[in-house]
Parts: sequence; C-alpha cells; structure tokens
Amino acid sequence: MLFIGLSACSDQWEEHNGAAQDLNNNLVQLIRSDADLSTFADLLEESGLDKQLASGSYTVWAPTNAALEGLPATITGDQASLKLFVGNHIGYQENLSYQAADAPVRVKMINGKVSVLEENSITSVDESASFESADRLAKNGVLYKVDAYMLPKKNIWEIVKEESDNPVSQLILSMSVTDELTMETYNYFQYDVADLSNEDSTYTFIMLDEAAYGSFQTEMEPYFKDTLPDEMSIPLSLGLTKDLVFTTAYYDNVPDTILSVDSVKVAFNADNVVRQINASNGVVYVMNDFDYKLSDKIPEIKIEGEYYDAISGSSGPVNVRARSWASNKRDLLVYNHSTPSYHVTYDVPQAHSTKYQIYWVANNDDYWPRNNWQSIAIDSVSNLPYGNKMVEFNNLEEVFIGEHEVQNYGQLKLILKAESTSNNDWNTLVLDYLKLVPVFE
Amino acid sequence: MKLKNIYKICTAALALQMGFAGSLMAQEVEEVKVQPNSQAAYLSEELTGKVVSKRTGAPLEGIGISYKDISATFSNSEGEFKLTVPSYSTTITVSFGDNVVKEIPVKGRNSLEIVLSDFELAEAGKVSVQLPYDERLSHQVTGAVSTVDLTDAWKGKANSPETAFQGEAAGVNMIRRSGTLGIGANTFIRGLGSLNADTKPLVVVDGMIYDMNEYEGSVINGFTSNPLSFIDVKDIDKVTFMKDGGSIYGTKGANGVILITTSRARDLTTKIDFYTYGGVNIQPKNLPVMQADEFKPYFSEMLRSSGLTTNEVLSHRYLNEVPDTLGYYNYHNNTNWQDQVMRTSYDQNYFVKVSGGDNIASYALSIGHLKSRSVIEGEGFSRSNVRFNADFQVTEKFTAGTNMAFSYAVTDLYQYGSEVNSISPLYLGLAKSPFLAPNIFSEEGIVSPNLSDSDSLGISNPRSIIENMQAQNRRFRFFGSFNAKYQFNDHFSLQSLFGLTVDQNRESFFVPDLGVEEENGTNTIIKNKIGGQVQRLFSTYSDTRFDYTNTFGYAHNFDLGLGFRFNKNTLEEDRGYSFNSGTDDFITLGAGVVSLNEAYGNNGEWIWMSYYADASYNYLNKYFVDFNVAVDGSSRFGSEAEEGISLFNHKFGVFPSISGAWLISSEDFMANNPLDLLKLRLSYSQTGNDGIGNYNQYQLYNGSNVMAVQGLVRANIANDQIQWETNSKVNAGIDIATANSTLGFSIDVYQNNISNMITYQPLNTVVGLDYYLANGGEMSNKGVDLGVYAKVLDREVKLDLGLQIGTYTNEVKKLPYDQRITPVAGGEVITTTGESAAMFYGYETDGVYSTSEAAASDGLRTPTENGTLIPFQAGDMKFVDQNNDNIIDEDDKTIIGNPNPDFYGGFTAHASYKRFTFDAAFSFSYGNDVYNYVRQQMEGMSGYENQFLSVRNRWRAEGQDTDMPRLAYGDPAGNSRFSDRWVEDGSYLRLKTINISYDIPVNGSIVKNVNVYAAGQNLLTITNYLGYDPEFSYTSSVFGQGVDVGLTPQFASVLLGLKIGL
Repeated sequence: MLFIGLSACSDQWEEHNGAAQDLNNNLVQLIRSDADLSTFADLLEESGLDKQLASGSYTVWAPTNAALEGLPATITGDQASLKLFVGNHIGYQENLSYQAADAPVRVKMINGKVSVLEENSITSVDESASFESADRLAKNGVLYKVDAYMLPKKNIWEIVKEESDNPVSQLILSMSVTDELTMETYNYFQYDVADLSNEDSTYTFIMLDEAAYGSFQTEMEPYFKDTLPDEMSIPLSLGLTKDLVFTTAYYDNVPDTILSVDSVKVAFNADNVVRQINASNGVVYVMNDFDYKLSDKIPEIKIEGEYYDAISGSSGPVNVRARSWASNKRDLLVYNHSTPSYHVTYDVPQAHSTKYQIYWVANNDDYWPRNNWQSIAIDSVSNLPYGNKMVEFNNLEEVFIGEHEVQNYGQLKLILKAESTSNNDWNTLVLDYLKLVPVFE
Repeated sequence: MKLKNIYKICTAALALQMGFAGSLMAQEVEEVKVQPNSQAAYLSEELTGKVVSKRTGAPLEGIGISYKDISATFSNSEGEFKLTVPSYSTTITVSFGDNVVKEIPVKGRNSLEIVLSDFELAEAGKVSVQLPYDERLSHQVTGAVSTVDLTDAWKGKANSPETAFQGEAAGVNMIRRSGTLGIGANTFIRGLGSLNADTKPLVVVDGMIYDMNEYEGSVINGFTSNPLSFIDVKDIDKVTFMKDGGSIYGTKGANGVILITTSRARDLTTKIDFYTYGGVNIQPKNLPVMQADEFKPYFSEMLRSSGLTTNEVLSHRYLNEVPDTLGYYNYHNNTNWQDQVMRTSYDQNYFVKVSGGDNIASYALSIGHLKSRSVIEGEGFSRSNVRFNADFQVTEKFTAGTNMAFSYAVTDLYQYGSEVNSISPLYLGLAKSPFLAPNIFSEEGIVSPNLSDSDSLGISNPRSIIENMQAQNRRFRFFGSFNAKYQFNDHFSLQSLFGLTVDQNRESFFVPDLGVEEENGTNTIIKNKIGGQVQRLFSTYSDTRFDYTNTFGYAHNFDLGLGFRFNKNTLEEDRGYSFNSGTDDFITLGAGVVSLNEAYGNNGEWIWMSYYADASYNYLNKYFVDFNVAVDGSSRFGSEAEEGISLFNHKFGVFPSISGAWLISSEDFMANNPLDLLKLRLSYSQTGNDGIGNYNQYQLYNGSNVMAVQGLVRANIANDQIQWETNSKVNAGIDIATANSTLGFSIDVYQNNISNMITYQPLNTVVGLDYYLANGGEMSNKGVDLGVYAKVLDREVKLDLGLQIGTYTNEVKKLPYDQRITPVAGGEVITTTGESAAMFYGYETDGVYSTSEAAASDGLRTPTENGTLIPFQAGDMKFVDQNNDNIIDEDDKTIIGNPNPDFYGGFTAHASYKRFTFDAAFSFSYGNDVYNYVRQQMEGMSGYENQFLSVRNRWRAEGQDTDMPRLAYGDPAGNSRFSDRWVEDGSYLRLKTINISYDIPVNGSIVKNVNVYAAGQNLLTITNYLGYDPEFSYTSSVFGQGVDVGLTPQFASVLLGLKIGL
C-alpha cells in the first residue's frame, strides 16, 4: 500500500522532461560516445581538462582522430603544452554556428586565447578548421567535430621576451620600476602603453633592428633631454616605444599608414619588414626602418585655463565660467581680488625639450571691471620675458605671446600673472586656454 | 425516536454496526408498555409474516415490526409475527434494536415474507436523513439531499472534517484549499453560485448557523482560517448536503446547505471511548529541478543573455573556479533546497468521548487534543477541543438540551502565493540556486552555523525563512446553544433555541531581515516586516418554532411548522503592519519605524431575521408534498430594494419552495416487482444569497495615509437598492433500488438560475472610483448528479461499493458590461456572457520557431514594455495571431481553458471479513483545466532562478525541434506570458483515504472493545499534472479557481490508531 503510494507519480515528469539522449550527457560523455573523437577524448583526459568540462558551459571543437594523426610529440609529451593545446579547442560558453552567420564571433578559449568562429569554420590566428558536424547540443554546451587541429600561439609579450636580442625587446623588458611603498616591481610599458600579454585584445607590434632602433633613438633623444646622463629616462623610453604598438592585428595587407595607440601616424612599408611573427593576440613585425610623422610625435600642447595647478591667493575671486564660445565650454576669470601680481600657475609635464611658440585665448566678454592687462611668466613669476598684454574685448583669436625653449623634458611652468596693482579695475585675469606649438627647425 | 418509548432492547447491535455479521443473538426483550392510543381504533386488518435472513434463509428473531407508533410486535424464534394495521395499503416499519432497518409497503398483501440481508441489518439506523427541522427516512425525502456515511471517518486525520466529506456526495465539489493543516476545502454545491457574492454553502451545526465567513481574510498570505477545523470528525454524527430546496434558510440557502449533527448519547449506559493515533506525514516527491552541474551552465548562459561579455561572465563571483578563494565554498555546493524546506513529520491525536445518563438527563462529553505537523518544516497545527451535548427530560412534556463546543487552535505557518515568492519556502525551495548553501562557509571550506543572507541574484535563503520567519494563527471559538421544547399534546409543540458564537481570531507574522531579499515599499526599502490582526466576532442566534403534526384517518399525514429566526453579529477587525524594526529580535508590531506603520480596522454589526413556514403532507407514504417559505430581512439590504415585500419599513425577500415525490414502488400494482425503491422527485425552490457584503447600502469612507497625513476618502458609492441575489432551482430526480437494496442509484437533473447577481458596474473616470456594486447579472448552472451503490458480496466476506459523480455547466447569461477580465497570479480569467465564469484568457501557442527563416517568414512582431515592436526570433514561442494583424498583443488573447471539471466526485469501497474491516475512498476530478503558475515561474527562463529540469530541452541551436523556447534574460519576446503553455489538464484520481482495522477479541467485562487500525491519506494520486499536487483552491471566489499559486501541496500520511471502548 505504502509502496504504491510512494512509487506512484513520476511518469508525467519523465515524459515532460524527456530529452534527446545528448541532452542528458555532459560534453565529456558526449565526446566519449563518439568513436571518431576517441583520440581527442584521450587527450582531454590526459590534460586533466575533462573535470572542468564536466560542469560549466563550453563549446568544444574536437578534431577527429584522422585530423589528430599528425600531432607532434612535443605536444603530447608535455603536460603543460598538452593542456594548452586541448584548451585551444574548447571555448567558454555556448557558441553556435548560426550566431556567426552575420559576423564572425570572437570566442574565448579556456587556455585564454581567442579564436574566431565563422559560420563554417573556426580560426585560431592563422590556422582554420572546418566543421565535419556542428552544433551538437550537450547538457552543458555544444560540440563541433572539426577536420584539423589548431596549435596555440604565443602572445606578443611572450614573443617580446623570447626575442631578447632585439634592442626594442631589451628596452621594453628594462622598463620596470619598483613601487617604493609596496616594493612591487612592475613593467610600466605594460601599464602605460599596452599590456601585450592581454589575450582579449589584438595588437600589431613593430620591433626594430639594431640600425633602425639606433637612428630612431638618436632622433628622439633631443626631445627628451633630462638631467640624468647615464640612464634612459622614463619619458624617453615611453616615447621610444609607445608608437610601436597598434591596436589592430594586421596579419597581412598592412595599410601604408597606421595609427599607433597614441595616435601617431606611422608609415608602414612592407619592403622594410625583416620578419613577421604571428602571435595569438596579434602580429609582430621586425623592421629595418621606422618612419613616423614628427608633428604627431611632438604634438602641440593645449592647456585649458580652468585646469590650473596653483593659485597665488585666496580662491574666492577665482571663477570658472561656463561660456559657449570657450574651448571645453569653460574659461577662467579671476577678479576683484585686490592682490597685486595675483597669478595662476599651469604645469606642463608633457613639454618636450624643444622650442615652443606660446599663444593664448583670453577674451574680455564685457565683464566688469572693464579693462585688464595680464602677462605670462615662465617657470618663475618674476621671469616675464613677454611683458603685459591688454586683454581685448570679444577677441576669440589666439594671441601670440612669444617663444620659449624648454631645456629638459617636462620642466615647464606657465604662470598667468595679473598687474602689480591692488586696483581691481586693472588686475583682473582671464584665460580660455594656452597653446604651445613646437617649432621644428 | 418515538419507537424508543415503546420498547427498549439490550442489543449486540454495536457489533453489527461495526460491520460484522455475527449470527444474530437472542434478544432479551424488556417488558413492553403499550400506551392506549385513540388511533388504535383504525386498526382493523391483521398482517402476518415471517422474517428470514437473506444469506442463510434462517428465521430471524427479535426483529421489530411496527405500524407508526400505533401497533408493534417482534418476530418470534420462528421469525413469525402478527401485526394489526389499518389497511393493506399502508407501510410497516422494520427495526433492529432502536434502529430502523427499512419500511415495507404492504401493497395489498395480507401476508409478507420479509427477507433481510446482513447489510440491511448492519446499516440499521442509517436510513434516516437529517433535515433542517426533521429527521426522515431517506425514501420519504422529496428534495435532492445527500448524506455522508461517516462510519469509518473516525479513523482518518482529525484536522478538518472536509476530507471525510469530499467526494461522498454527488454534486458537491469540495476542493481542498491546500495541504496546510486544517485549512479545509472550498465547497461548491452544483456549480458556481455567484460571481461576486458568497459562493460558500451555509453550514448549520445542531440547528444553529455556523459562521464560516472569512471577513477581511488572513494577514498570512495563502492561509484561510477555517472554522470547520474546530470540529473533530469524531464528534460528527451525521452530515446532510441539501443541494436544492434551501429556501427554508431564505437568503442564506442559495449555495446549498450543509447540516452537521454532532453526536449525542445513543443510549443510557455509560460508554467511554478512547481514541488515539500517531501519524507519519510523508515528504512529497521533489519536483525535478536542475542540479548544480546543470544549473551552472544555464546560469552562465543567462548572464550572457543579460548582456555580459564572456569575460564578465567568467569573472562573476559565482563562477569563480579557484578553490581557497573568498566565497569559493559558498558557491560550489549542490544543495537540494526542497529537502531544506520539506521533511517527513509526525502527528498525534487523543480523543475521549463519554456518554451516558439516565431517563432524566443524558449527555455526551468529548475532549480531544491534536498535535499535527505538515511536511513543511516548522508548520504545525495544535487544537484542543471540548464538546458537551446534553438532553434533559424535565417533565413528561418539557424537554431541553444543550450543545456546547469550545475549541482553541494554534496554527504555525509560512506565507505562500504569487505575491510573496520572496518569502515562500516552497517557491524558494524550487528557485534557489543549487550551487549556494544555507550556511556560510569559511575560506577554508568549513561550514559555519550562520545562515547565508539572500544572494546577489535577489533570492532569499529558504532556510532563513524556515528558521527565522514566524507566522501564527491563534483562534478560539465557543459555539453553544440551549434549546427547550414543550409538547402540548400529540399534535402541538413549541420549541426554541438560543445560541452564541464567540470567536476570536488572532494572527501575527514576522519576516526577518537576515536571509530575505529586501522589498521596495512605497516610501522605503523594507528590511523586515511585522503584521498582526485580531478578528472578534460575537454572534447570537435564536430560532423559535411552533409545530403541528397530525394524521388524518390512517392515510393523510400532515406536519406544519411556523417559526422565527434572528441572528445578530458584532464584528471588530483590527489589522496592522509595521516595518524595519531595529533587529530581527524585535518582532512585535510596536517595534517598527513609526512613520511606516499601517493600521486598518472596522467595527460593525449586522442582523438577519427570518420568518419561515414549512409544511409537509403525504398520503399513504406514497405521495409526498413539501412546501417551505421564508421571509427574510437583513441589515445588508437596501431600503429601496426592488424586489421583496415591505415590512416595518424594511425590505424582506420571500423565498418559497415546493417539492414532491411519488414513491411508485409502494403502489399496490408494484406488489410483484422486485424493486425495493422506485421514486420520482420534483422540486422548485427560490433561495437568496445575502453574502453581498455588510454595508453596501451605506456611504463608506476609508482612512488613508498620504505622506504621513491621515485623511478619509470615499470608498464606494452607496446603493440603497442593493439586495440579495436570487437563485431559483429546479430539480428532477429518480431513486431506484433493487431488492434488499443490493444495487441502487439515484439521478438528479437540475437547473439553477441566478438572477440579481451582484456585479461591479464600471464607472466613468471622472467619478474617481472604478466600480459600484449593483444587482445586474444573471447566470445559470445546469447539471446532473448520479449516485450509485452496490452491495457486491454479502457472505463471510462483505464488499460494498459506492460512486458519486456530478457534472455541471455554468453559463453567464447577463452582465452590465461586455466582459470582465480578472488578473490571477500573472494570468487572467475572463467573464463574459455565453461562457462559463472565469475562463482562462490568454495566448494560444503553436510550438517554437526552430529556425530563423521560420520566424522571419511568419513575420510576427510583439510590443515590448516600452511599446516598440520587435520581431520574434528563432527559439521564440509561436503565438497564434488571432486577428491576423501580424502583431501579437492584447487583441490576440482568447479563451484557453476552463477551470470547471467535466466530472467530479468519488467512489468508495468497504469490505469486511471476520474481525477485519477495510475501507477505501477515492476522489476524482476530470477535465478541469488548471493554470500552473509555479511551472510558469519554473520554466519561464527569464532570470537567475533555478528552473525545472525540462528547460534542458530549451531551444539552443538553429533547426532544433523542441517545444521549449530559448532562454532570454527579461523575456523580451514574452515567451513566458500567460498562454496555453501553462494551462494543464488538472484531472486526478486520488486514493483519499484507506484504512484497515482489526477488532481485538476482548472478554467484555471491563473493556468492551479494542480496535486497532492503520490508515492512509492521499497515498496515491494519479494525475498528469506537472506540480506537487493537482488539488488546490486559494480563494473561495470563482475568480481564481484552478490556479496553482504554490501553496503547500496535499501530502500523504500514514496513521496507526487505537480505539478502546469501556
């Protein structure tokens, strides 16, 4: 009686939940059940990834036994590289071929690499495999059967480390600093320019040979003068490396001009390519020449008036005004301060060691008091090479102030100084922006 | 009863009543005093005969043979008797002990052989039917009434007597509300009685109306406090369902009447019966939800569907695959949450009944205690009840009696239903992510005793609900009456009953902060929540009645009753909520933040009064006519009501009924016909429904809290024309039984027309109110009820079977508006003329688009929440575009299901062999559609809740052929909208009760009898329903039947019990 009661109700659920046999199997079971995938199944087990594959959501592009016949022993012999290899055929989450019908889908693989799924193929960098069967659903993912295996590639960072003879590689690997507080050493190229080990991004990276690097460094050094004669300064090392990185992976058909991560135009001439190395997250070109647009490399500097670094007196009279005509829709107005020589300081840490022409836009838009004269001092408030200038009414033009040669990289302070009078009729300061234009001779 | 005055027999009938067919023992006959009777003058003919057993053919001695209370005799040791009767056309009565076995029409014969089967002897006394002011032999009843055989009901669970009644009366659809202890059933007699007024039948206990109102209801979601749970089924002697002819109860009889008679002293010897049982409640089979290994990939796909990139998904903390990191062990479990909230539990019941007395006073006293638990951990029901029924023979003409019952019950609960998913342990047990755990783990993977808080997916911790949530109902009821009767002479009597109901219903609940997802209140984030309610009812009832009875000649029997009833009720309800008490340790209403407190209350009284008359006449016990009329007034009726008559400046409704029966089998020309019974019945009655709300004729104002300023707002538009709903009932029936009632059936055909139905009349927007209540609708219920019984085996093994089956068709005839759409738990029901009330109204589906081409070629679009139209994609549901405009919207809804059953009822089997008895009772419902809200939640695939295992069939790949759509965060295409996907066939067949008992032989000197039994409840349910259980009814309203909002399911129980008689 009890037995009948307990065993009674389950039929309706069995019918309702009844699924195709595949859906009751996880991916490992599904791969195992296909005799044509037995090699891959063995590799999966050897690599230890079968445990991970049993729970979670994955897509497997399993090469058939025939496809895996030629697999080099270097892979099967080494646990780490086997795991990397098997992982190059397993993507996170479900990726179905129809999802790639309109546009290729980038698939994150469990070895960290990224492959590209197209409607009829899967591509790992430069190796592709076609589907013998696709979109077979398992309990926890999707199984494809593919006709070729794809070896995992190294990423650019690993290649940089490998190419340790190359001067660019040496420079980049030397770009490390130690945080004085945490005593943590890190490579500031990875932080400030690009993390070339990031598998999710794609890069083109140019490495220069000895000669090309030498001439590039010689060209750059005058603009990055510093007071440390023996060491390469951080700005110089960044200046030398930042325009070697491009955020698109140009495996082939590189345009003749490409834009670096810092938006510097760089000429690319295929004839200058010494060697091409395909990486998992991009491509490395070793080149014997490097040409770039100098005006991009040493750019103009624009300093918004409202972004001042210091003021000489109380902040009460300092006003950042919303003005539709102003650059960045703001300007700075300091008035009624009753302080002779009130001044506002702007640091220019990115100034190269070269000659700049200085311009300002300062507009008297009918504020009151109605007149003012102001001047630009360099580095020190008493260094006034250009004298006072009247601020004109409704003048939105850039006004040339004078020229200044910066001695060392980053050592420039521009000081906007009011008249040396406490008469508020005359000591007003106003500034929309300052502009520094490098002079190339 | 009258026979009792004539003779009194010490009998072993008890053994027979237990269902044994021992050989008939010699009866010791006391000295018989025959009162001289003036009517004895009629006795002119002598009838001779012999009484024999059907099984053995042996003569039966000591069987009482009588003609009314005029002449009587017993069969002698040869089984022979002689009886003087006024005519050979009359009917004689055969009795066994005090109990009537049957009536036998003489049909012109002067000598009779009376063949009695063991069954007939065993069921002696059960042939009489309790009627409102009368007890009659069943073949004399003119209306459609059903009685329930409660012989074995004492073996069942004591929580609530509805289980014993369910399926035992044709035409009475009792749907148990849920598995919550003592919650009872919603009862619909012969279809749907009303749309907006009360649908519950009137319950009369020992001649006094038993208050069954819910008033403002419970503050505990999913719970209904059930007054019938105060009555232990062991206290119930008789139950009668009056399915038509409720007009004797005037405006209270429209939905039928349930008459309950509690047990009184049967004889004067002192009897002590002790009952006890222990029970095991079996945890229901878990619903198949995904386990952690399957939910995890589902979850990561859902994260991606919500717009996260693969890397964001992989860095989600629940998908962290690195052991020994923070949280790893909290997120890597495989918890069976259903086992965390449900478990097997135990019940106990003790019950003592003492009865006895002398010829001046007799009494029956019972005391019971029940401690019952449900399968949800922490839910319990404990009840103490005492009942004292006494009868006094003060003088020869003056008798009096009392019925008094006091019960106190405490129910420990949780909250359930679609509105409280965040705290419903059952819902959370299904939806909570299986990779989470109830308790917090350390970084090293050591489990702590501290409960986890609600998770970052917004789902509460079910264990926290089980351990820290409180919800309790504490209710007592005193229900007592005193009655007195003065018998002037044989013909005239005056009797009066006065009774009191004192009921106090207290509720409180507390929802903790820890482990429970916060809720957005109107002015605040609700962290914890406290609620409480007190309902106090004080009700008086009186019924005074004058009776006249006479027999003219020996042929014309006439009864007349005139009476007056009065019922006054005073009710106070106070309800409060408060929020955000300082910590989860402060759980009383005063502890919340004062500015968030909410308080409601009402305090009022209402009165019902009724003049009534009932007359019955029969000629030669062959032709029966009954006439009833009630003239009812109520404080609920408007002074300008259109119908009825005016009395004392108030409107009174007049409710007449007439019913007749022709007992063809008693006609002389049927003398050679083997049929025991052939009867035709016909009745017409008008009844009223006063369950229309207490104060609709008055202008009411509600308190309102707007930005912490209290004020009053108009709550309704007074309707001084409001009146009762009228329910006119026509019934035709036929009762047939073969010789010795071996096979019998009874068929009734009925039509009930409901007019003046209360409807919500829509108002113009400018009024500021949505509706006002007025009498404006019409509805009908037509149907057939069938009852069949068969005594299959009548030997050493005895077996009898019964079947009760009913069917009805409900149709709304008239409404003051085109249609009314009522939301129910995310679905909708529609009420419109020409259809049954409250049909499921939603979208029709036609599978899932398996390919993008299929979706594109259909070209259907659907509006999103912001109104833009989006096309359906591969993997979306294919909805049927009813109006062919290529847009799936409101206009494409259609009727997708009917919650009314095609057939419903039950069947029973009763067998006995020597000292063993066996009973089984099944209940069934066939063809009713149900809306599976729980499955909609569990297959909706729109969020992070765990889902049923069936979602593994969801559409994932182009070309995949399946009926389960794709997962989509937020369900933009509305795949889970209310559609026929969620409407299921709710048919079921259930082994409601089964028991087997054994009478241990005892010597009888001190202990009279000892009975041990094993019983089961709900042990087997055959259904295709995809849920815990197909039987549920969360509201007594017709809007909301057949909606599974996720209440506690019915569960199976096994009892072992013992009864000792001293």
